[in-house]
Amino acid sequence: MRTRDLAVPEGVVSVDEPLIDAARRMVDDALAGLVIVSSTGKPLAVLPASQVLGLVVPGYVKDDPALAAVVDEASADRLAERLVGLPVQHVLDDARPDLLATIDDDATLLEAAAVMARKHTPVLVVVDDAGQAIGTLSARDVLGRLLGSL
Amino acid sequence: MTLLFTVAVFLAVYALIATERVPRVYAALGGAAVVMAIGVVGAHEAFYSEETGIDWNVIFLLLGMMIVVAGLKQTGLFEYLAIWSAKRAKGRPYALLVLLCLLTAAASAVLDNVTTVLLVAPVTILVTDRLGLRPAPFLVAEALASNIGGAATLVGDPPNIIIGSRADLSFNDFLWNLGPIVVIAMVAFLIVSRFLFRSAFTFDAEKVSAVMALDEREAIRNRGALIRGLAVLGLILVAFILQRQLDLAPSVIALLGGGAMMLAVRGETDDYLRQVEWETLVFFMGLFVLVGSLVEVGAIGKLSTAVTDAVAGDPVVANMGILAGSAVLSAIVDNIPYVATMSPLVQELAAGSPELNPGNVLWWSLALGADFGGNATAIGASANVVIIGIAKRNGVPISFWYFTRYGIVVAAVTVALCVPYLWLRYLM
Repeated sequence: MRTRDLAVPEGVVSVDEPLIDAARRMVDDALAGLVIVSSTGKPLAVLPASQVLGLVVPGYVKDDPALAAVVDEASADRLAERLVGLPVQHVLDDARPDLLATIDDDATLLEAAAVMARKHTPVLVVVDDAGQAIGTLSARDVLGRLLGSL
Repeated sequence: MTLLFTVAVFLAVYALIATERVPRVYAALGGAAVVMAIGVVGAHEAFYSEETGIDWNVIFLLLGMMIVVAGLKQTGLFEYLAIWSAKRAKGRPYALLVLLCLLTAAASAVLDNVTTVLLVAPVTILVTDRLGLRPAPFLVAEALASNIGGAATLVGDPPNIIIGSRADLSFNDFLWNLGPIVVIAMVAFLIVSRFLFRSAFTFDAEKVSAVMALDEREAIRNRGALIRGLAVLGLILVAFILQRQLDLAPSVIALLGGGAMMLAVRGETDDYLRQVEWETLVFFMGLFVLVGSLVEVGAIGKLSTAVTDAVAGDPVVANMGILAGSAVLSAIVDNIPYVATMSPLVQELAAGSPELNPGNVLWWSLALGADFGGNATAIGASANVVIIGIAKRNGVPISFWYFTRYGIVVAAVTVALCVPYLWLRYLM
């Protein structure tokens, strides 16, 4: 089995896409993070779900976590509204280029596992011969496949 | 030659601090390293001399109070009080500003200003966000209030801690001599604020319910810890007030208080140590060695003689000069290095010409000029810098000039009020 067989196209998001759609995709497809690519398909950074959560949390709660307790639930439920209308580009500065690691689409799963272990990253960008991202490969998927033979 | 070189090193460090080209702790330590390396100040002078060395009383007083604050921060007391105040204001913007500024000023008198604004600013952004108000005017007002309130006590503002130690002035001396003018300045500030920030006072009755829905009781995470923490704070204040009778140095009271706070609020020791601003303490150490070198080479003595000649024995000229000069210079340079430098000068003036210093007025002029003058610009006091940082992180940029156009008015009004106060009380 090659990485292209397990690559998830939904794991890649363009800087031009609405951020709310990207967040929704993380929830629907149970993705721990997305790979942000430029409008030409060049991988730029990894966007972990925790980073999107960080956008939902107001700055004053980050400055003083005790305030999280005083906000009523009805208002807290509306906090994600601040994501509406923002493009993925908006979070590019907060995303993690250091977590970005690519792998060829014809590499084996063991090669993928080795890269993940070396770079301590939970997600790899699977790229074709032209360097375009065709999807992502999560540590969960690779581990699942490797465990499957036991 | 040594004198000129030492003065040059000192001025270079000042320039680096003022322009923020390098972190201030590097500048102070670098300067201290140079004067120690060339032998102006030796190990004995730096570590053991009361006149020219590190003022350990100041260092340990700051350290103790930082630990006290670290304990109180965990209780949620300030968040509770700030939200309670906002609800009492019922969403009316001016009432909200008055209550939050009174809370900030009162807390700043007991705790350091930076901590106070760090605790009050996030709640302010939450409340103004709910009311659809612009937070910037409220944040600026809180920084100004914290610098005014902090002037009232020995422990309220770092310049006061330096002055208290250098002049051997007690907590009560500060409260008795500066408390009244701080109350007057605070009242004046709140009246001026009504006009200064009037454009921010828009009232939307429909949004009030969003503030009333906040539950301040949720901020208190551990009721027992809060009660014990408040009891320890009360004991610390009583000890400061009875400092002379107890025959305990303020630094010892602060350190004992810090230890008691750790036992009362509990939590991990590491958490307390992490919250100590070690950089600030080391900055003070470097600064003391550097200023000590100026004393060693006789620069402070020469300056003191020059000032004595210039004021010609007139206490009004001397005190108003120090008040106005301190206000102007503290607006440009952080008031901590300014007061650290001026303290040995004022000490020599007071010792050489006691007629200039009835009731320790030279020290009060220095404290009021430095504390209130720090309000004039965005870089005049640490609280100003911190509040601008919090605002920026929350998407509310406050520019240097935005802050300064309010700060300079408040600094001018409050320093002007000090003139009749000092004159009527000490110089008539």
